[in-house]
Amino acid sequence: MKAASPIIKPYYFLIALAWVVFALVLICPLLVVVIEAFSQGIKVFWQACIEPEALSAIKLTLLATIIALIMNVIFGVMAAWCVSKYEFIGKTLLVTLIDLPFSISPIVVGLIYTLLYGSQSIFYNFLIEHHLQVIYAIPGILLVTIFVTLPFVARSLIALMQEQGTQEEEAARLLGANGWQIFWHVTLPNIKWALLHGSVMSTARAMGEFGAVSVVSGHIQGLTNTLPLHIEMLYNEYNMVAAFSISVLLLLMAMLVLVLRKWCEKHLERHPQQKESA
Amino acid sequence: MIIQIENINKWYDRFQVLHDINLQIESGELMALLGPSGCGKTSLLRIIAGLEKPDSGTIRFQGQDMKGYDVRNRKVGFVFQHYALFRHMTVLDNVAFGLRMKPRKIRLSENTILEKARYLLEMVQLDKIGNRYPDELSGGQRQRVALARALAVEPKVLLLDEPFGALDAKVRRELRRWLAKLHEEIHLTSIFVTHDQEEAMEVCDRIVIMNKGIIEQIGSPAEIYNHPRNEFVYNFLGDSNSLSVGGKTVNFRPYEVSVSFETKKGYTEAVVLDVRPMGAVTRAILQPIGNDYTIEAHIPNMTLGLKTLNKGQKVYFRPILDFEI
Repeated sequence: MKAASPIIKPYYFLIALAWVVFALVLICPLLVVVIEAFSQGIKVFWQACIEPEALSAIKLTLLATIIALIMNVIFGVMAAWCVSKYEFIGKTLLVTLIDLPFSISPIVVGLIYTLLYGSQSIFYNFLIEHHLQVIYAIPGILLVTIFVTLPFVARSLIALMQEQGTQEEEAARLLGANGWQIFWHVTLPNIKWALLHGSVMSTARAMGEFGAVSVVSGHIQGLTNTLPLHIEMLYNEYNMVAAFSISVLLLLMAMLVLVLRKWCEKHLERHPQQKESA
Repeated sequence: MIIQIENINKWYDRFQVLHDINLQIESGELMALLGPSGCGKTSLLRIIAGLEKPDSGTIRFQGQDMKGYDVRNRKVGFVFQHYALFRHMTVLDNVAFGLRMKPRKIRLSENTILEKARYLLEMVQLDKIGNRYPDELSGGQRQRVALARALAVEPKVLLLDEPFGALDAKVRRELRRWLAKLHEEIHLTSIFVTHDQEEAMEVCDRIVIMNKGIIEQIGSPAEIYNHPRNEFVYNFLGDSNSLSVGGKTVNFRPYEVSVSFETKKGYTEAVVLDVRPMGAVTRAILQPIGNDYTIEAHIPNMTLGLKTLNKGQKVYFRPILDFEI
């Protein structure tokens, strides 16, 4: 009989498999983007980033992302608060509606908004009279960005707040805290991680949103082009280096968001040693 | 402060949890609301605190109708079963919370607040761990923090909702003795909700027994134990046996059973189903011959022949009651 061969523990195999998939799906594409972007030197990369159309696309993307983030935080916290701390008629419907943007294809969202606010719409005359151009203009881009990112903050808060219940808020009220104090000193600290997580998800999605924005934007260079749209345009013009350069830029912005998140986590953590001892 | 509860009714959807409750809690008294779960005791406590509104009826503090008084203005200290400590704050910050939330005009200086919080922590014997977080404490410690936090704002009433319900038996006994002692020192009008009759008996001056939204009996621990007004109260206050004798049902406690190893006048023959030593007494489960119900008997350990008592053995028993059978 042969001596028993050393047992290869199955998890080595699993870890190896994970790395292979990880490399194929994540690392290689990222490397290709970076290599392509710098294939003609850093100067060409930089040139692609600072041409006026690119700069305007950066501005518009940042604007849409920040406004969507603010809206999502305000709406998400309010919705989660309502849903988890109160009972009311239509609660189930509201919770279902919050998830709607997740299940609708972004391109459909774009079409819906075009129909609703575009020239075929019954509101169109009213909007024109009041000089409100929504479709093929910045308001349309803001609206669809908010729509597609709406659930992120609310979703990550609702489950947590339902689990935490209302007892801490009740305790705070019994101790004399008013509504604002309860929110600021009790509720917010308890949800800060979920809020941060939801905000990061919302930001990442808002920066990268293509489908819905593409439909409502009208692709007016220097006016209604966001970064993803700008990349598509460059790509369609066979300007590969510039397309990849802007992609790297978008990638860097995403990384920055992740770094910011880490930084927040570090600074919001408890520091018992710094607290004065009783 | 005297608390008057007048004709309180409370419905949840179509289910009435409180039926016309009338009750007066005297100033400085520690009163228990005792009853099985679902009897409405917690709802009543939350109504007193103002956390819930009654559908009808009045709550008066010192004669004044509390209707329209928000929770914040009732000056009520409340201790929850599951502590409800602020999990992101240290113990000291938890205790100081109520003082820090006061409007700027009447707020104490930060130093005075910390001094007061430390004093309260000392009172609950937790002054060494003021800089820890709630999740680093044991259940008993958490509940003491919760109590210190409630007392910090100098409430006029202290409401405790099953405060020791989530603790293990030994800590529970320690804490309820400690609470009874604390109450003797500070004499704050307090209402203590519990489903544990032993706890109510040990801690409180007066006990209100509730069942299905009504009050069954009010009295001192001795009164309700010795003179239960009805069968529910009798059964709720401790284990009991019932035996049909001469067409009449008699109820008696396990320690009110006399056991004999030979037949005697008035004794019933029974088979021993189980024997367990319980410390000062031995618990025997007896089944009268020809019946399917059982009798629980607590037999003093000094009883002759007890050591050789075995399952399946035949014995004779009778309830020890004030009358002859």
